[in-house]
Amino acid sequence: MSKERDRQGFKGDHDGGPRGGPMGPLGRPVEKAKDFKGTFKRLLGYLKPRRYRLLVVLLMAILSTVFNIVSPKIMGKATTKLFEDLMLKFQHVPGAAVDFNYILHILYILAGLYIASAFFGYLQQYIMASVAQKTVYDMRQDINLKLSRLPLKFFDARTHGDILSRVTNDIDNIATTLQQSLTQLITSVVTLLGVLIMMLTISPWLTLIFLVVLPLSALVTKAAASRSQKFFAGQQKALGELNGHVEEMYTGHQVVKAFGHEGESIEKFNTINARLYEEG
Amino acid sequence: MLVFLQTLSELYLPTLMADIVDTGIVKGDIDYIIRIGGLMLLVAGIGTVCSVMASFLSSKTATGFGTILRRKIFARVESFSLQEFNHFGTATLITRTTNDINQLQTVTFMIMRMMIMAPIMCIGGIIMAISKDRPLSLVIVAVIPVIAIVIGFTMSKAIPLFKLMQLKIDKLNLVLRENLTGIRVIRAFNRIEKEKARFEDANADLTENAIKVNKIMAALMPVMMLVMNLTIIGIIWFGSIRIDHGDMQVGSLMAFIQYAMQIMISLVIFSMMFIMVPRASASAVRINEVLETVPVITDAEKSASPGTKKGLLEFRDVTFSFPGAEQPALSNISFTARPGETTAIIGGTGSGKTALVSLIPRFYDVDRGSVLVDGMDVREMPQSSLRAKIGFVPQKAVLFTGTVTDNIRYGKADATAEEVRQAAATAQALEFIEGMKEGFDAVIEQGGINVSGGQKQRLAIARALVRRPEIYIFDDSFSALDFRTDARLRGALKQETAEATVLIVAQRVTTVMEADRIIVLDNGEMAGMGSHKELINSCAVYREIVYSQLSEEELA
Repeated sequence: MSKERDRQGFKGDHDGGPRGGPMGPLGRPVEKAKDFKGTFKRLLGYLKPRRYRLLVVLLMAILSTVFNIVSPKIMGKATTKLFEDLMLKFQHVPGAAVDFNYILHILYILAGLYIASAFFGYLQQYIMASVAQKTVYDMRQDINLKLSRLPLKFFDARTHGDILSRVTNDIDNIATTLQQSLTQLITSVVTLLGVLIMMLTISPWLTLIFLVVLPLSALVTKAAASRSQKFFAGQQKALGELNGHVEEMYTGHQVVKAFGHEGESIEKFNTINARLYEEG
Repeated sequence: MLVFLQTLSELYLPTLMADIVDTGIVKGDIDYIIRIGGLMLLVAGIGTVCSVMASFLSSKTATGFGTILRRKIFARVESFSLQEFNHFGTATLITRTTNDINQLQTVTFMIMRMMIMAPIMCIGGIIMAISKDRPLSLVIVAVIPVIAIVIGFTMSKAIPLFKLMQLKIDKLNLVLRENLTGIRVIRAFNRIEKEKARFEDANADLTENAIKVNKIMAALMPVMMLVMNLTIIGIIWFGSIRIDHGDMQVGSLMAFIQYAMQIMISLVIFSMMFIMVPRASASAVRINEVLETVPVITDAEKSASPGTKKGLLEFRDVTFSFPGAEQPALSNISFTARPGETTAIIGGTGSGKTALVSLIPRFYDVDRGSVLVDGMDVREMPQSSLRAKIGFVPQKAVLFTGTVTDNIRYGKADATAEEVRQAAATAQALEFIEGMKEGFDAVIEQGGINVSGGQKQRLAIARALVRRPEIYIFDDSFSALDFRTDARLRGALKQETAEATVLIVAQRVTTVMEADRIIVLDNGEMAGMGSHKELINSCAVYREIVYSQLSEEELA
């Protein structure tokens, strides 16, 4: 890794402090990494030693999802059978009765599928737990190693809080993302593909209608997201300013006190805080 | 209310669907299907509108809550004396003011959105299920305890681990923070390897715990899904028997399945609260700790009329220890400094120099004895009027975001441009300020990272000078200056501060030699007091310091 990238990685964003609004993840403009490709490559580097386990996770996720997708179709068989038999019965067709043996048979299969799906889902999460945590363990270890080699100048130019928040908060975020989002991503993709296939086998026409509607809803989502992005941007800006002010006032607490500037400092804080509320 | 409506509409939908299947499809009544289908769309629409509005209002409320809390905590921290401030530490106070409050805000939002909805949905779902088909509800009745047990069991295992996790994160933070604050010492004494091992231990410990927690949590979702799906299988089985007997219709069965799903999903949401609440409560505890801390240093209720002896500073038998310290940082210090005099304080690291000057602006209160300014105990004076008399230059020069002028005016808000310039000139800062492209309008970045250490110190000095205070305190404020600038600065200061009381804390003998009075501190005690000449003869500690720094000829 080049030295330049190291610096870039650390300089990424300086108003520090973790962000987060109450608005959930929809279209939140995340701090954009300056060098996304480099950062991504580095992350892959961390995952590389665990690639076999990740492959297992992937396999588990696929299996778990496939079983999950197949089951509604099988369940549909049971209900359809039930319905058909009943209709026949209503029409007083002689000898018509609900074929309980058949339904029971289907339900057994279904139970088996669900158990298998749950089992694979569990295994996938179980393996991912150690993969994610060991990965961030390595990261923390590397950061600490790096910190012990950096020149003192680096430490003088930054607040301890800033460095601390990188080692704990940011890394924690990576862990959560790996644990949840990565598996979710795999599951979502598999589900999407699987459901499409299942739908096609059930009814190509209905699938067609669905596919026509889909871009429409995507458009709506996009319009809503881009509008909310503006709000988010304003909110993030206020939040960044607020965090900056807090950091500055707390680091200079002695000076603020010595010169009796508590009042002004609180006033400025309240102004930014009020703006944050307005934008929120 | 909105959440209630939203939930109601969601609960109503399956019933409508059941109607379609039972009446519409079975009888083949297309018209009916379309009519009820339209109604379903309408109900779904109302539900969505309610949901959006509920989201909006919840978010406003949560943000408002965060805003109020944030304002409170910031105002409280600003009122802290250094004693409370250092008890917490800068970094955690920053986290508490920003991150912890954000956490609480998010959880408030979630609680308002989810936690209100979940019970309504659960109870409503049960009612609807029973109304659809009473005997079949027994399946749900049987499953709920199973879910409760699964959740209860997982949580009883996971929650202690979650708490432990917080402890381990704190531990890792502690090690790292010690590493950061002590970085110079660690490097100087080559303790890097040892510290690395300590970090590794804490890191491994945390990782192990996190894996344990996540492995337990890994079981929760699949097991819940399994229970849910098996329940549905059960419902289909028993339902089909009932349908066969003619006790129930197919549409009702489908609606029933949906209700069962809703009930169980609401239980899952409910169980999520068990994860979120402990996390939020950790944040809440940290915030509360700050809010409950009352500053020890407050203004006296009735402040006496101001003293008349302008600029007079007196220490009377002062003993002081930092909170939690075993040994006093200062013991039995007595001296008087008058206007027009320069008093210097010298001593090794940890001898109590900074502690001594911190008592004058009442950053801390003394344990015994008293500090008098203008002939009056500082505890009887309002803090604002006390600090208005003092020009303080801290050991670590801190500047704020803003222009050079802004930073100097920090000392005196209504200072004229001429006064600002004059202060900068005295502080020997004029040269480099004018060397900058925008001069006095040049912007200092946050933390002053675009100026050098020496430049920072000179700006901090100018900031104190512009106040024209009665008492100047220079806490080791010349350390980053080269000898020539140091000498020039002291020369200029002498004229500027001719009528004021000046206190200089220093480690360099050359800085203090010309002072009217030198106080030698050693381990918090006064090892000697007097002029340079007197001390060199009488005080062993002083002599040692002098010999270690000056060559023979300089001594002569």
